[in-house]
Amino acid sequence: MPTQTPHPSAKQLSDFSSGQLSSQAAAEVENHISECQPCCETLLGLASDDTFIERLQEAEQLSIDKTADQNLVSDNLCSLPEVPDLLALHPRYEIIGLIGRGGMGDVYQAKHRKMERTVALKVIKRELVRKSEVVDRFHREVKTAAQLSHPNIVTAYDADQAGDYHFMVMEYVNGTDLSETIKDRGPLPVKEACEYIRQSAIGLEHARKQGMVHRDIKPHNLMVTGDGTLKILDFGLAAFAPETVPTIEAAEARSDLTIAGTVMGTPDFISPEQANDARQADIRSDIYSLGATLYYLLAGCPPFADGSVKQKLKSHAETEAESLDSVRGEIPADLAALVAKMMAKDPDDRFQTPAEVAEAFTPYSHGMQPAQEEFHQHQVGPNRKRTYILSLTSIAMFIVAICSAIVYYIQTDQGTVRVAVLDESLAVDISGQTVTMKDGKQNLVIDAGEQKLKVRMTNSDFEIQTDSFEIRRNQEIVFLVERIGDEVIVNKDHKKFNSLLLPPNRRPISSQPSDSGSAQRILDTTENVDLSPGITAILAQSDQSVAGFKQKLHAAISQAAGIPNAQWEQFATDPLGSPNAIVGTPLTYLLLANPRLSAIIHSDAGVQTGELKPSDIDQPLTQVIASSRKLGYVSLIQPKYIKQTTLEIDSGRKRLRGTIQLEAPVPLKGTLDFGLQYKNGLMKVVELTLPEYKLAVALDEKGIWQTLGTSESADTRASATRILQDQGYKILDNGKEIGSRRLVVTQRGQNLNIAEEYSLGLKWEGAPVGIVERDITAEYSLVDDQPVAVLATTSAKEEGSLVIQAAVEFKNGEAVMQWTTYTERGIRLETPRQEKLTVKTPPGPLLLQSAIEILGPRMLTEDGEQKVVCVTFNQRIRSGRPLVEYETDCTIRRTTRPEQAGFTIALFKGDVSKPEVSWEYDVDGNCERVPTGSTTVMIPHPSASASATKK
Amino acid sequence: MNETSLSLLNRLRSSSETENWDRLVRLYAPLIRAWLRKYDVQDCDADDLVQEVLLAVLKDLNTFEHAGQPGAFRSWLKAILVNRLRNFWRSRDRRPRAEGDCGSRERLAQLADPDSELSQIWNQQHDQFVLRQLLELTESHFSASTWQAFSLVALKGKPADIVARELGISLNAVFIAKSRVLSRLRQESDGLVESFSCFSPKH
Repeated sequence: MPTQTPHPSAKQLSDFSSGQLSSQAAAEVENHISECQPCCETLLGLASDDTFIERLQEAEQLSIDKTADQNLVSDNLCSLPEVPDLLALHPRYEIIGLIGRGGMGDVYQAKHRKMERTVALKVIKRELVRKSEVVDRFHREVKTAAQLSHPNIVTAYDADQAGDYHFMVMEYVNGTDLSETIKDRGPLPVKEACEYIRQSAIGLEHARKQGMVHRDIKPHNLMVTGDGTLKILDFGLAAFAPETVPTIEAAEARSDLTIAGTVMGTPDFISPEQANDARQADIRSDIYSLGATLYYLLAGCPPFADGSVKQKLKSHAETEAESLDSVRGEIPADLAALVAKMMAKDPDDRFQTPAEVAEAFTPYSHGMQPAQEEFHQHQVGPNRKRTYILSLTSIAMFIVAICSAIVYYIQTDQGTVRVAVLDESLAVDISGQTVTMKDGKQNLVIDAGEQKLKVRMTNSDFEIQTDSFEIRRNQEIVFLVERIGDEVIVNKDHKKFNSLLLPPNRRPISSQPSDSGSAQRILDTTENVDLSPGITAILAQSDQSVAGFKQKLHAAISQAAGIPNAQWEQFATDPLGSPNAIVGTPLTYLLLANPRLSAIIHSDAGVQTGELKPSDIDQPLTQVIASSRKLGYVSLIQPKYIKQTTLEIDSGRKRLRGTIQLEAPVPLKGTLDFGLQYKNGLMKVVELTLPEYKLAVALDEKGIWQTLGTSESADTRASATRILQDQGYKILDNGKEIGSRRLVVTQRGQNLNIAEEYSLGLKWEGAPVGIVERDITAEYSLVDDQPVAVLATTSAKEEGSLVIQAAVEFKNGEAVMQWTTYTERGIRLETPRQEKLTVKTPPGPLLLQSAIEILGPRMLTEDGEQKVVCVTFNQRIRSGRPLVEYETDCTIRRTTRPEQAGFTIALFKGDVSKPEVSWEYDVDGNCERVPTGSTTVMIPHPSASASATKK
Repeated sequence: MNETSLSLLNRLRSSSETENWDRLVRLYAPLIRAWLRKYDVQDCDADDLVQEVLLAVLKDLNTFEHAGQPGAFRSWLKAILVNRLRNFWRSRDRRPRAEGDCGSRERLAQLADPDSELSQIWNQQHDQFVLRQLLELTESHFSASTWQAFSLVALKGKPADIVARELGISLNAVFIAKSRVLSRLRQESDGLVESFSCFSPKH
C-alpha cells in the first residue's frame, strides 16, 4: 500500500525509536509507520545502542527496595541484618559476634559447631561477588590461599556461603591491626616496627615459596597478637578488595563487581609497577608495600600522604619519599636507607626476596626467637612437611567411638574404596575414581591400585602404597581411606578367623561366601544380600564372584542413593518451588552420614572390634545438606540399618530390581525398592522407591533425580479451625515496649496456617487491621505423613516487617514451636522460648502457609463505630517522611512535615488535597489535637486495600 | 517550552512545599542514606542528616538554576551532602575513630572533587536512582499494554516483532509504545539526569 507521506529519514526513524523526536514529529512518524511495512522493517533492524535505554535497563535492575520511600534504608542497611541471620542458620558455624568491619565486608568470630574451633568468618559484601565467575574466583583464590600455612600468616581454611553471602573461613586471631595501632599509639618505637616488618617478611617468604603474592600489603592487613606475633591477613583477596587501586586488572574486576557501591580507597602502599599494571605485581611489589608500611609505622603517615589518588600514584612512580631520618630524627640513617631500598622505584633495585628483608631487619628488631625458628624450619624442605602432615598406618585401625563420619563407597575398576571423612572442615573431592583431600597445605590424591591404594601428594613425586590410611589431627582421626574391595575377612568370636584376598576372576562361585560354615560376619554385611537364582546363575556363567558382586551392589546403592549436589542446593534454597527438587523429603531421613562400622580389625597389635556410635538420627537436615554440598553427595543408605537386601532380574525393564529392608528406628525403618542397571561390570542405581512414603525418584537421562508420580491424597476439608491462640505478650525493642503479639495456628484441611498477630507502634488498644501475606520459606519433613519438623522463615519486605523464624517440631500430636523474631533491622525481639500447642496432625502432605496480621490503632467515630485508621510503626518518625500510605476509596495518608518531629494522620475522601479530618501526633504517638467533628468516613478493611494498591 | 512541565525537575520547582517534600524524600532519601552509610554515619545520625540535606535542597530549590549545565542538580545535591557531612563531623568534634574516619574524610574530599572517581560513582548512582523512580512514576501515565510493550522491548531488550507476537499487537504499535514512553522518560529526566542526547524539539 502506498504511503501518503514520504518515508522518514533513517535518522528520523532512529530518533523516533529512541523517543527523541518532538511530539509533533513523532506523531508524523507514528502515522507513517502504521501504514508502512518497510519502515517497520527498518525500525526492527535498528541497533538498540542507545545509552539512555542502557541506563534505564540498569535502573530497572535496581531493586525497588532501594528506591521506594517506604524503604528508606540503604542497600547496606537492608542486607546487613541478614548476615547474622543467615549465618545463624549455618550448619557448620555458630556466630559469636561481630569483630570487625572492612571495605570488603564484616568479620565475625564464630565457632565450628562440631570441631568447636574458633574461627573468623569474613563475609564478603554481596556487591563484590555478585557474578558467578567472581564467586568461583573467590573460592579458587581462597583455596589457593588455604595452601599457606605459617605462623605469620592468618590461615585461610575454606570458602563457604550462607545464602547469597560468600565468606572466607579463617584462623581466628585475637589481635590489633597495625593501622589501628598507629591510630591509637602514633609512630612505633623503631625496634618494635622493625620486628613487625621482619615477621611480615618471614610470612611473605613462605608465600613466595608457594608462588604466591599478596598484592595488598598495608598496615590494615597486618595483625599483631597479644604475644607479639605478626600475622598477615587476607592472602588471596586482593583482587576482591574495593580498596584495591584503580589498575587495569582492578578496573576489569570492578566492572564485574558492579562499580556502584564500591568506594575507592587510597593507594598509600602500592608499588609503582602494580599501580601501572596489577599483573606485573610480583613478590617484590609486596616488598615495596611492606617498605611503605614500615615508613608508615615509623613516621605515622604514609610516604605520600597528600593529594588525590592520581597524585599519589604519580608520587609512587616518580617521587622519592622524604627520607625517614629527616622525618624522625632518631631513626638511624642506615635504617632509613633500608626502607628506601625496599621502596626503590625499580623492582630490581629492591631486596629480591622477603628472606633478604627479614635478614636485613634482624639487627634492628627484638629478634623474637620462636618466629625465627619457624622461619628456618620452613626452609627445611618438602620431606619434613610431608611427615608433618601425614601419619600413615599401613594396616587399618578403625576408629572406635567417633560420633559421625561421612562415608563414601567408590566403585573403581580395582575394587571398592571406602572413604570416611570425620572432619567436615576437610575438603574432599571425589571425581571419578580419584579421591582428593585438601587440607590447605597440600593435596592428597588417592587412587585405587591393583592391590593397594595409591596415595600421592600433589607437590611431591612420592607415592605410597597402602591398604588403608588415616590422617590424624590432634590425636583425632579426621580422614580414613581403605580399600575394601575383594577382600573377605571372616571373624569368629571377635577374633580373626580367616582373611582372604580374592584375586580377580578366581573368586568362589557359590552363592554362599567361601567359608560360610564358620563365617560370623563379613565386612559390610554382604551376607544379608539375597540374590535370585537367576542372578546367581548368570554370575556363575560369566565367572563372576558373588561376593564381589555383592560388594559392588552395596557400593552402588550407597553411592547412587546420594542426591547430587546441584539438586540439594536447589532443595536447600527453594524447597517448595523447584520442580527438580526432591519433594516430600522423607528421603532426607535416610540421609545419614554415618556408616556401620561394626568392623573387626586385625592388625599387628592384635584383633580389635569396634562399632561407631549410632549416628544422631536427628542430625539437622541442614547439616546433611551442607555436607553434601561439600562432598558432592551423601550416602543415603546406612549399612548399619540394612537388614536384608534382595535382588532379582527385572526382565521387563532389562535391568535388576531389588528391595532393601531397613531395620531401624523411625523414620528409618521400612523398605526401599530400587532399580539397578548392570552393564560392563558397572552398577548404577537408577530408581529408588519408598513405598511407605509413596515416593519414587528416578535418574533421568541428565543424571538428575526426578520424582515419579508421588501420590497425594486430596483431602480438602475447607473449614478452618483455630487450634491455638496463645496469650498475647509484649514485644520489646531494647527494653522498650513497642507492641504486643499473639500467635494463631489454624488448621484448614491439610493446611496448617500459622499466623502471628502483631500490634506494634502507637499506644492504642490494638485491633487487627490487616493481614499482610508474607513470603515464607519453609523446610519441612514428613514421616508416615506426619510432619516432624518445620523450619519457616519469613522475609522482611517493608519497613516494620518482622522476620520470623519458626521451628516447629511435632511429637505425639503435640507441636513444639520455637519462635525467633527479628525486626527488619535485625534486632532480636524478646519472645518466649517455646510454645506448645496441640495439633491434630492432618493426613497427607503438610502445606505451610503463613500470614501475619498487623495490628494498628483504631479510632472511634462519633456514632461509636470502630474504625481502623492505619498501620503504624513509630520507630523512625524523626526522619520526617510518610510511613504508610493506603489508597482505598478514601485515602488514608500519613504525612509529616519536615520541621516537625511528630506526624499527622489524615483521612481523605475523594479530594486528596483536602483532608476530611486529621490528627497530629507528637513523636511518642500522643495525639496533640483530639479529633473533633463528625466523621463518618467508611474505611474498608485494609487487607483488601493492601492488595488493591499493589501493582 | 511546552515540554518543561513534563520535566520532574521543573515540577519539583513549581509545586507546593509539602508536595515537594514528599517527592524529594521519595526520590533522594534512599540515595543520600546509602551514601551516608558509605561514610560510616550511624543510622540515628543519618536520619537527621538526610533531613538536613533535603531541607537545604527544598529551601533553595526555587532559586536553583542549572544554567543549562547538565548534571548540575546532582552536583548541587552532592555539594550539599558534602557540606552537611563536614559540618556534622565538625559539630560533633568527633575524634577520628581509627582508620574509618580518616578514610571517610579523605573520601569526602574525593567526593567534593568533581573529577574524582567517587564523583563519577555518585553521578551514576544518582542517575540510576532517579531513573528508577521515573520508571515508577511514568508507568501510570500509560496504558498497561503500552507499558508492557515498552518494557519488553526497551527494558528487557526483546526484539519488537517477538513482542508484537507475544502481546498480540501490531508491530508498529510496539514501536509507537517504545517511542512514546521513551520520549516521556527523556522529558521527565531532563535536567536531573545527564542528558543522553541532544533533545531537540524540532528536527
